[in-house]
Amino acid sequence: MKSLLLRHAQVLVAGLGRLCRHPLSSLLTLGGIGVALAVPLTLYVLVQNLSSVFGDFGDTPRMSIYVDRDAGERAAGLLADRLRDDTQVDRVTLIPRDQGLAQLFDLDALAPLRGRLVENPLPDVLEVMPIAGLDEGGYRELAARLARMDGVGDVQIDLAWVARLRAVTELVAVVVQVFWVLLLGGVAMVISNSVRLSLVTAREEIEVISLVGGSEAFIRRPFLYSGTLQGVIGALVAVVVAMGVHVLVAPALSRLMEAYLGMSTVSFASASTLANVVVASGSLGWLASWITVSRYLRQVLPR
Amino acid sequence: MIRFSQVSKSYGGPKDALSAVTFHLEPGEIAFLTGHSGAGKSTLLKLILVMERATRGQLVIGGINLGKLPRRRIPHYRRGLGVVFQENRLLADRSVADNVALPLVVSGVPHRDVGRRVRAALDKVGLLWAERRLPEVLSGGEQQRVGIARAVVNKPAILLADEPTGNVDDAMASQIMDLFHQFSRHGVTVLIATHDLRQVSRFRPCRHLVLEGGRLLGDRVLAA
Ligand SMILES: Nc1ncnc2c1ncn2[C@@H]1O[C@H](COP(=O)(O)OP(=O)(O)OP(=O)(O)O)[C@@H](O)[C@H]1O
Ligand SMILES: [Mg+2]
Repeated sequence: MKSLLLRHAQVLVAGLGRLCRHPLSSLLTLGGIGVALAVPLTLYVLVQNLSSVFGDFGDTPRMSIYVDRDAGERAAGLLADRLRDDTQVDRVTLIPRDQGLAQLFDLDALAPLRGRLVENPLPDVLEVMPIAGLDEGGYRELAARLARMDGVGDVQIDLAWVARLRAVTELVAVVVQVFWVLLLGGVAMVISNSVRLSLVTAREEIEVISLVGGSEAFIRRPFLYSGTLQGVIGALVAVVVAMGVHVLVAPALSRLMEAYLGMSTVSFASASTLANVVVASGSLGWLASWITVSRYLRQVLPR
Repeated sequence: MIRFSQVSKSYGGPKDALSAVTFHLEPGEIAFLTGHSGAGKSTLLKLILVMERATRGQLVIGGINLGKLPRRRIPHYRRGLGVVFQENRLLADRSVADNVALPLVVSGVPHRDVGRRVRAALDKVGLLWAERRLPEVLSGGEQQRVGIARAVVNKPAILLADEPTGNVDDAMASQIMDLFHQFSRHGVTVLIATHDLRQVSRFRPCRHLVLEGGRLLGDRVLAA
């Protein structure tokens, strides 16, 4: 057992030695794998950030309640208190009609109207955030119930926005998956090619080892190690590249999310995701080199 | 030890490379295989090594019927053979000692025994001093002897050699042949393909097999 471990360790070191002996071609291979995998990894981080935000409140449609203008000065405040007690309502924000008008005039296009209006045409508005987790019908029912409450003039609920957001995240998630498959396939091809090159260089060695009684498993082993190693190191390069991209892009993404969604925490992929990428890439390296070596041995050791 | 019965080998050409070859070598026997270029000497050795499979006939080597030897058993079978090639086939990027160690490493001999047995084999061919060198800095004859050390390090029962003295002068050729005779005296069955008829007549007793156009035309025992 110990000698077996020792032998594997020796082969592993030999694999590393092989990588170091051809630094330029190894660098190109590892760089190719790294860049290829950095693309889906970066996309994945982006989608994950967006969908975590949507997960928080993206599935929950906000409702705007326009308070009946005939209900009197204090109606909005009373209504807001009653809504806060409602079990299906999470948060309520009151936007008094004066504030609404002031916000309107802040828009450039409407600024010239400031001071011209005799009377404020706007109602008081209550921005209602319902609890999460209802289905579309549930939210419609809630809106209908709120519409029947005293002092409520009108209720607007934007279900289309939610549907649109969801469609976009789903599309992007599918695109990311397709990229994973394509680029992991690319990684397998890159590794297969580099293993093939080292096989051709080692042809004499392979034949001699075979003639003195080396089994195919013995011949295959160093190539399996170097293929797996290339997959693993390539994935680590990808992680570093994706981190670099993340550092460059995060501030802009954070500003975008702040502006649209009022959220600004941008996170990188989780450690377990990164571990999965490394394991997947390493396994692919192993598989690609296994197939390549087996096919090659069938060619050069025919019988 | 080596038994050929009506063995033929065709490479798909119009003429068989070997046709209906029959002979038998006893354990510890030393035999020279001669014949013109293209007579089929290398082909005969390749059949024993299972680098090629016989087209017809039966080969039994050390009690193993090669016709029934599955592909996955070939490595283990080859570990019982030693081979010396004309173009020595040493690995250029490994030291002399590492080259000689190869048959031991592939058969999983424990690390601590490898060094000892490699030095013993190198000592036998008089090259212990070259242990740490690369093969390319050695002379042709020295390289050939490294190849012999590699062939015998595993203590094989059968030693095959294809033109082992093709690239060396007469004095070195005689030295190399002396080594083969030593091994045969220790019970190893030795089969040497060569052009060099002078070497054949120098050592008695021995077997002399003559191939011509793939047929075994002569099979003589040269008495002492
Ligand atoms: N792989 C092969 N494919 C096709 N024909 C081959 C192959 N190897 C050998 N032959 C043919 O088989 C015949 C015997 O070849 P072989 O190499 O056994 O001769 P040899 O006696 O070793 O000759 P030499 O003394 O020149 O080494 C030759 O006609 C050769 O062309
Ligand atoms: Mg030949």
